[in-house]
Amino acid sequence: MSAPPYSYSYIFKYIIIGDMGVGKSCLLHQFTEKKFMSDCPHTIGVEFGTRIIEVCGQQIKLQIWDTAGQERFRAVTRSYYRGAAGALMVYDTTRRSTYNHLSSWLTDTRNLTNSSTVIFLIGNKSDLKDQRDVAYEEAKQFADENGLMFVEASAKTGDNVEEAFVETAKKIFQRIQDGRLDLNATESGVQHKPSQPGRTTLTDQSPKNTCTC
Amino acid sequence: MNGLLVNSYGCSYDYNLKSEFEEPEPCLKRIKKSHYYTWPRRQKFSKKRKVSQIIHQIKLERAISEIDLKFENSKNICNYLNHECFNRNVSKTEKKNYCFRKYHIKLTPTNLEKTTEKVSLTENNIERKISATNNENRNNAKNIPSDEIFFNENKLGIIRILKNWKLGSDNNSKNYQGNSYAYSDSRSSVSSINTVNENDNSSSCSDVSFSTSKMLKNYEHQNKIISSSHLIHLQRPESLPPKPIVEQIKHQKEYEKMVNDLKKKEREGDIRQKKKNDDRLKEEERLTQATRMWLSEILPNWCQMKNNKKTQNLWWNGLPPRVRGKVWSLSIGNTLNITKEKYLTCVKKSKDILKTGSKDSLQMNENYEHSVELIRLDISRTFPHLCIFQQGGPYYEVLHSLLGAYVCYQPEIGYVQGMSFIAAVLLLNMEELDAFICFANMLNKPCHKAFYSLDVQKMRHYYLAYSDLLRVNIYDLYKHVNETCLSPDLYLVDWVYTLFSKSMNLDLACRIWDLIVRDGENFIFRAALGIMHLSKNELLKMDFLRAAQYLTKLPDDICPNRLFKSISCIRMNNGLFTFEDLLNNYAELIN
Repeated sequence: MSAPPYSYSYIFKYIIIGDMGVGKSCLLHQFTEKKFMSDCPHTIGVEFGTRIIEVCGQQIKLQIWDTAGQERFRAVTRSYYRGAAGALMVYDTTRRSTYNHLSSWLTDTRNLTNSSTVIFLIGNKSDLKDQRDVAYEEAKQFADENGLMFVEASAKTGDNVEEAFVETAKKIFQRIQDGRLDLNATESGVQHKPSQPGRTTLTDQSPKNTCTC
Repeated sequence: MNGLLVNSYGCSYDYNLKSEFEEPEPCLKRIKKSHYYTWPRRQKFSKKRKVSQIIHQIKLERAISEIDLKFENSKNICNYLNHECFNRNVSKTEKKNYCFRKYHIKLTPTNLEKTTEKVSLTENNIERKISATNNENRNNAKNIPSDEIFFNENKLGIIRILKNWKLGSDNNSKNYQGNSYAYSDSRSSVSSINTVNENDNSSSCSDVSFSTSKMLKNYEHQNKIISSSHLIHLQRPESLPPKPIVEQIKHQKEYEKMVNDLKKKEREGDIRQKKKNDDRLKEEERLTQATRMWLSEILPNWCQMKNNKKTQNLWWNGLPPRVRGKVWSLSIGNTLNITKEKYLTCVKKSKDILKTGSKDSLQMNENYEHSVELIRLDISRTFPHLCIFQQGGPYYEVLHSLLGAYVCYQPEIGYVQGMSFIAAVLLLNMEELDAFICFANMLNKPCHKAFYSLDVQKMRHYYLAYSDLLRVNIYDLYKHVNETCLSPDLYLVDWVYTLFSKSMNLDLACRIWDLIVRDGENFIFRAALGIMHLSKNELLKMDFLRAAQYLTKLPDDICPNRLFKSISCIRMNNGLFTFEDLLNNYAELIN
């Protein structure tokens, strides 16, 4: 129950979006737990994940919103985009339809977030090579045309998962330093927290037996 | 042989199903290395056997109680093991011995009693030991009748583990099974409970003696001394320089403190365990009586009895699983007048759509027949831990056709994620047709209709009315969630769509369902407020993220009685306004 004894300087809000069954929750689970959950129940509404990463010497806490993927749920999930600093847009490399819907996800993201939001495109299930339905080049081209960062990843093997989350954070951090992302804007998706070393550590650390020999 | 301080710490070496002996791990890690101990030498082989059998019995007891403890809070032994073993890259031999090796044998109260005994290992002492152990165990068996239940459960648990030992070769698993019986049987003979598996007795006995004698040989080979109760030898081996007296006293004191602490801990654990057993027995007793009552009195006279106060009370305390489906079905009713024919037609239609595709319906507005194609993606992701809805599982097809039929029955709603959880819970409690009838009727009620047709406006009215009640009932929590920006929709969406079945323990969710069918949909929000009430203290300490995570994945060990006590504290009105009034007010206000 106790909070990890970390201190961090920033909180970045991420949102993971994409069609149902593309593996959004699995990507999140792989990122936060470093494990593949072969049978995770589908998300209803929204679920949350968190992890602290280090970017450019700064401890950054990612607050990740993992949304339900069904098209009709968008009526509900649209309210979750607000104030996201990063949006991970996921499609399934083995199901073309999920790729075809990207443009509508992109429209939503652009409309519902601010201009400084970093959008990262992830082609999930890259381990299923023989079932591939969307070519890398094609997706890469789509990403380039729309100015998105792009990677093919696999929540199963963990391939590129870490990279996707961390690269997004780097980009956001870069934007903060460039001044493109205004920390004081209400919906920047970034909270600056001065580190409070010791405060959490003191309260949360339970006295452990120390070995004297 | 030296005078020995007998102590039961010594026996924490890996307990191995295979009789291969391994070097005993230096006993309890809690004991400092400077407390030297050795194993007493055995003189006669015939005694060895008796002694070793006692050791074995004690170890069995411990191993089993250890597993008990291990899984006290874990619902699913198999999952645990599968998860533990197969997620790691363990070698084959490791896997083979994993199950019991994992659970080091630790102290039990019985053995703690012996820690202060001083026993020199003469024949008399051994005999005394044997009879003492037997008496003790007999007494234990008398005092704790529920022991038997536990024993059976453990046995089942072990067998379940073995059945799930998918990766092990057939030979291995056979071996394990044999040995697991050996475990249970020796335990049953120890505690004089000869309940099960008399058939396996002979083989298990031979197993036991075989393994122990082999162990002893190994010990002898290593010139170590063994005793019935695992000794700590305070005299240091000659090869080492003598311990200063101050240090010796200090160690002795530390050692005594450790023993006392452990004793205390064990005693507390014991009391807790006993209480748990008693509670469980009481609950079982209650359920048996309730089942009898429901079957013999209430169900035959449903119409007269259902509103009766006694019935309502019985209902509040949870429906027995045996009558749950029936009561739900009667209580939900069938205002939509769905017939078997209608259901079958819908199933057929959905299958046709799946085969041919739904080209024309795609163009139509307000028709979600094509959503039948999405169902497939969610079935195996419905209660995956139950392993019955996945492809090839016993309920895959049924759940698929039920949801497919619903899409064709209500094309203006179609399939919406979350439905599969409701349908699955119904299927777990009743037959397919009844489940469909209940499903369609439940979703026809205003709240679910609003949510499943994704009427965002109406959903908002529910959140607002809920927030009002949260303010009225638990003001400080209301303030806290407002401050942390934890809006109710973040968790209510999940709770309402799946009626709690996804975010909490299924048994408890079913108990909430009992009352949702009894009191109507408003109970969803009452239960939600009850959960908030129960977790108030925890939530007040949490920030946005942790609270959101907590609420979307509620802890597995919520105590049903406490939750229902919290729920009973919840008022469903704000002054003169009932929940419906609040909903209507917001509907008017916003429109």
